[in-house]
Amino acid sequence: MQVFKAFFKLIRQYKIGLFLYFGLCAMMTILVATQYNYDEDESTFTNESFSLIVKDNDNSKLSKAVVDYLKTQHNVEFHDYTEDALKDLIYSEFYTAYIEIPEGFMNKHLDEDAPTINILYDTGRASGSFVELQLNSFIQGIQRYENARFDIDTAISNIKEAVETENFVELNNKSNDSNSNSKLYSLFLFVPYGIMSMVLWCVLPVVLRFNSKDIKSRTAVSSISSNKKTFAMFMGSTLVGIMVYVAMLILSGCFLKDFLFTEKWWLAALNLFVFSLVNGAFLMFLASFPSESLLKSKDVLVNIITIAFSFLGGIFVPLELLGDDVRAVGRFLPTYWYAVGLQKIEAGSTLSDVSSCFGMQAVFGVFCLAAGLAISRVCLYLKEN
Amino acid sequence: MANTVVEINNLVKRYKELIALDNFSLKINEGEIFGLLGPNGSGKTTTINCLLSLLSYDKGEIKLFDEKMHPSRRDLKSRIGVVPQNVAVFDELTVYENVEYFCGLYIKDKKLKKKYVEEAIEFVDIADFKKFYPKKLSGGLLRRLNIACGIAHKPELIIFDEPTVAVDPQSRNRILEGIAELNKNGATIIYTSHYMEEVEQLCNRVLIMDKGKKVAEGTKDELKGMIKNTESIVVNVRRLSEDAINDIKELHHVYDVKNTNGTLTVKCSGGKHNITHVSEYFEKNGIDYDRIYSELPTLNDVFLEITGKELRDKE
Repeated sequence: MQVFKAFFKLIRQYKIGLFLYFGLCAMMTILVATQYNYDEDESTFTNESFSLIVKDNDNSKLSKAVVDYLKTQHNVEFHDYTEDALKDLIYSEFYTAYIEIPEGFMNKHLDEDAPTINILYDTGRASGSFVELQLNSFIQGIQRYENARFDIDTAISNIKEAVETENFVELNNKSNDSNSNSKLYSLFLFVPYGIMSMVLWCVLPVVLRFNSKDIKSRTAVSSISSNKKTFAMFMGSTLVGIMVYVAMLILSGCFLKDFLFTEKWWLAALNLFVFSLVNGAFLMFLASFPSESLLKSKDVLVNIITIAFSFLGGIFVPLELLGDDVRAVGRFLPTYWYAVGLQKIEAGSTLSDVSSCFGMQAVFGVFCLAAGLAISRVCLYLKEN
Repeated sequence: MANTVVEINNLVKRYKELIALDNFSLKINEGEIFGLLGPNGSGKTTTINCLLSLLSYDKGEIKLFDEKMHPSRRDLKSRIGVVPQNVAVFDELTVYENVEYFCGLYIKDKKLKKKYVEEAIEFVDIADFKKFYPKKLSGGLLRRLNIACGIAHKPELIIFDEPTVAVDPQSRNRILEGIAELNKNGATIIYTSHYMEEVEQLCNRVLIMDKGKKVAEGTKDELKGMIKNTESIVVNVRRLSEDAINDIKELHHVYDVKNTNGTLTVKCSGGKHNITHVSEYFEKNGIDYDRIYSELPTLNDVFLEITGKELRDKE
């Protein structure tokens, strides 16, 4: 218990670094999540409404139909402004467009020299063009009915019915697109970098400190057994690892409401858990080297290791973009198998399909533990001889 | 008869070709301050490490409190306190937390632990620095913290491995006084050093070792009695002829004379009025001198005479 308590007292000294890395991961999560900020279930959309000023000089059935149609689509107001005042209002975006229906529009609208509707808008903005397009479509629709020998009332009634029908727009779900990945994949992909950084940053120096020659000797002379001490340190490291793992799961979970507790999410969480365990074994491997030299260079070392593992393992750069040589090296790293596992989960694989990736990560972990043990033995042998 | 606290018999420790301990033996009784003296590399720290089961050894036997010492003997370890040569504390913990941690490795009871920690901090006089981190402490204070961590659990046997290396004179005296007080309170002390003045000042019994072997062992007087030199007469003289040096060599009880850079050292064996004889010779022959004084042999002289080399490295 004494070692366990001291372990966390020492961890306390590294909390700033821990929070900095967590903040960095939170920023990355938010950044990734904002790339997917549309509602993936949405399949319809509504037109945007603009503010329009309309002047009806014709006051006919047709002009009233046009005004009614515009009212259904936009906020229509009726004002008498001078041309300069109108230009100012449109420029300063109080109104999107000014529409003036000329006198005799209904009587002559099928003639070749038919009077045109005067529409004034800021050509630098797409909204004005959009309103003009809507207006022309409506009038052309009526004209087509009239050309087909429908009377004006029927033409107006038919076209009104047509525009009132809701438009369904199919949005492609990004996850169905073979060239891009889901939010779950993107959010889970970089998490190993965060876990590695946080755990190595704050746990490694603490373990190294306990293993430093002088402290180790002093503790070895005490009435506490070395097995108890090792167990306490193992428990401390595991607890920190679990805390970091849970924190990262919660962080990503905040942006993954639609995926939470789905089969994919469980598999991704399991993949991350396996990685966290392997990371713990890797930590033990590093801690088995003589502490004094490692303690001095731990900042540089942690950064080099985490960045190298992330790049070579396809965390920062998609696996497809990595060259064959790089991938060949990456195959020896747990981050690579984590990324491959996540790709399989993304493609809808089952637990049995992904288990080979878990296994490859575990192999790395077992290798780390064995190598760590061997290094400890060598160090002990050198000390004794 | 006092109980034997430490007994080492015919200990042999090899580092490949090098024999670090060569059939080394010693015996320390309860209540002693036992000085282990020797130059750097003589085997002092190796002896301590073997004693504490931090190092395995090739041959021999080690007994603590009349029981065989072994790495798994935590009951024996709990009766020992160690103040290592290098300061072994956590830079990340405060002074209080460090002492509490090391005391807690032995003492489970919370109240007792707190009491012992407070007492240890008071004892080494670092109460004003309880909340300081070790990096903020001076070398002397750091050494005192190192001691507090080693003695907080009130061990019966305390091993001080060169505790005053790189310490200012004030802190050194405070440390030596503290060690004497610990001994007065009942602890048996093993004190290793290559500073013979400290060992002379502190220890009841001294063992001098070199190249892993015992060179001499006994009380200070016993050790000094082992050598020929009983007194050195030192004379600061500007000019002295070879004839005069030869004449002084012929004086009664004188067995060696050295003249280096205006300082004449006359070594005597036995006799009570050697300084008078030397000064009379100078006056009779009209030789001017600035100062004349007598020095009693030190442990360094003992070491020098027995091994033919200086105890402390030239600094």
